[in-house]
Amino acid sequence: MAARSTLGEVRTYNYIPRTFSSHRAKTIPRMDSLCYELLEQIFELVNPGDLHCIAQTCSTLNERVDSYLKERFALEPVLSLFFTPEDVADFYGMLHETGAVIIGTTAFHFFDRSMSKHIPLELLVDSGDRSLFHEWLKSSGYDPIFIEEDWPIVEEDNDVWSDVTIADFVNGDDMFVRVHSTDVEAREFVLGLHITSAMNFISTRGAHSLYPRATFDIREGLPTHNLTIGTSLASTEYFAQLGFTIVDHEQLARGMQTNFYPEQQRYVGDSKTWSFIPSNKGKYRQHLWKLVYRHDKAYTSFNGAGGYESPQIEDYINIDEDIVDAENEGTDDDSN
Amino acid sequence: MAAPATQQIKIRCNDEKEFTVDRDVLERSVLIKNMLEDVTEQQDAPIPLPNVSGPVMAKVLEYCTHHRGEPLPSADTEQSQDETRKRTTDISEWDQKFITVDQEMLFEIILAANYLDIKSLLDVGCKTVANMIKGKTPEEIRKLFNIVNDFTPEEEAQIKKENEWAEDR
Repeated sequence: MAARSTLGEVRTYNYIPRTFSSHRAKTIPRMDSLCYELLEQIFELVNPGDLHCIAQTCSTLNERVDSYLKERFALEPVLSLFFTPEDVADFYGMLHETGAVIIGTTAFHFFDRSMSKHIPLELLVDSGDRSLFHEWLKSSGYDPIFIEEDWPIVEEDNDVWSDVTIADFVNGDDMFVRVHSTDVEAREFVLGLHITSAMNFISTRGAHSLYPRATFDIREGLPTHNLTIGTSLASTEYFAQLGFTIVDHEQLARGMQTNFYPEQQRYVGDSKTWSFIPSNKGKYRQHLWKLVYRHDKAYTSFNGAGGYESPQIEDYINIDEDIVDAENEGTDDDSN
Repeated sequence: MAAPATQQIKIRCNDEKEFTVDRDVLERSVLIKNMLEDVTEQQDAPIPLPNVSGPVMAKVLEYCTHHRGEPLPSADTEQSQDETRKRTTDISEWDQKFITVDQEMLFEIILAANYLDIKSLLDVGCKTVANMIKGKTPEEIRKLFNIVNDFTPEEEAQIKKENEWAEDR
């Protein structure tokens, strides 16, 4: 029996376990002696954090996990759901050149390893590149079904959010692409989303999940905005429908914040981020942020009641790239 | 009218141990089901299963007997499960009790389920291993599964550095 490897060649695995060969001494079957196909089934059931622990146990499992991660956390298979192979290459190049990122449900399901043709492709592009993406999608067989003109949606009273416009496209196979256009830098945009579970993004230089343990380990989300506002409700309801627990703000106010929502300085690519970086060269610019639990005052826009303390992402600081590189050596250039 | 007698099939394991089993129980194994469908004439000779030992087959048959009559997963349902897949590692109470075996038997059941193509049993085995791994450090996993650390100190340092983020648990 043969299995496909990440490099495209066909590997042949021995499906007749040595344990059962009458010509050899009986050996005890062990995890590291399982064929790749069986290990893959086990890998599918554990999260990337556990996978990386498995990878550190021995050279065989290190190699197996590496192959699995490259296969399961690759961008091309995601794009192949939406575009022809020729267009995938073209689109990939466009993402790379413009710095556009994949966000939202697409990024979530990418990390969740549950991407399918029923999940839309959600893009975040710079406003200046909007027409480029719109025209390209049209030339690739996608018809616009909704294009928001230049009247902006201003999301709440938060400096992080700026004008966002949306355009929806669908092709003959009912594949759905949504293009968010904004002037906000991608990572800032993601950090301004309404729930921590949605704070995942993919660029051609890496995929990052900013609150992965809460999102993928325990399937829990912390709302960061007023839950009575439409978009906030929509995001929390999406995750609630997926079986997520939406963290209760009152509990957090009583000090139930956990290791999953650390009240500490963070940066993209830090030790609490899940990052899949395809290569190890260059630098990448990051933002610092912090989840702030306001114990001393109520978050006035929250529910209008003033009775709850609400966490929110407060700050974004561009920091010296050299500092980040020193702390995070080996990550890729994600800034250009 | 009397119900038709269930056809009995003989199988022989790699240690010469033989079992005579109801056909519908054995047909939980896609491998054996296909073998039986390919044979048009009734044969008295036991079906050889060179990759499964008697003790392991006994456990497999215990599982198949308990789950007899349940629908086998079709290609459609498998695809649908894939599309809506959640990383659930829940195991039913009976299956959990069934799979509470020593580690050698656990991996032998996984290998046998793979060889015999019994997807539901393979799932139970893989979920059990996944549950054993979850939340453990590399050293704990090594100890648990008796894995020999064959990294050089330099390799280990490098790997540890690359995977630093995964240790923030």
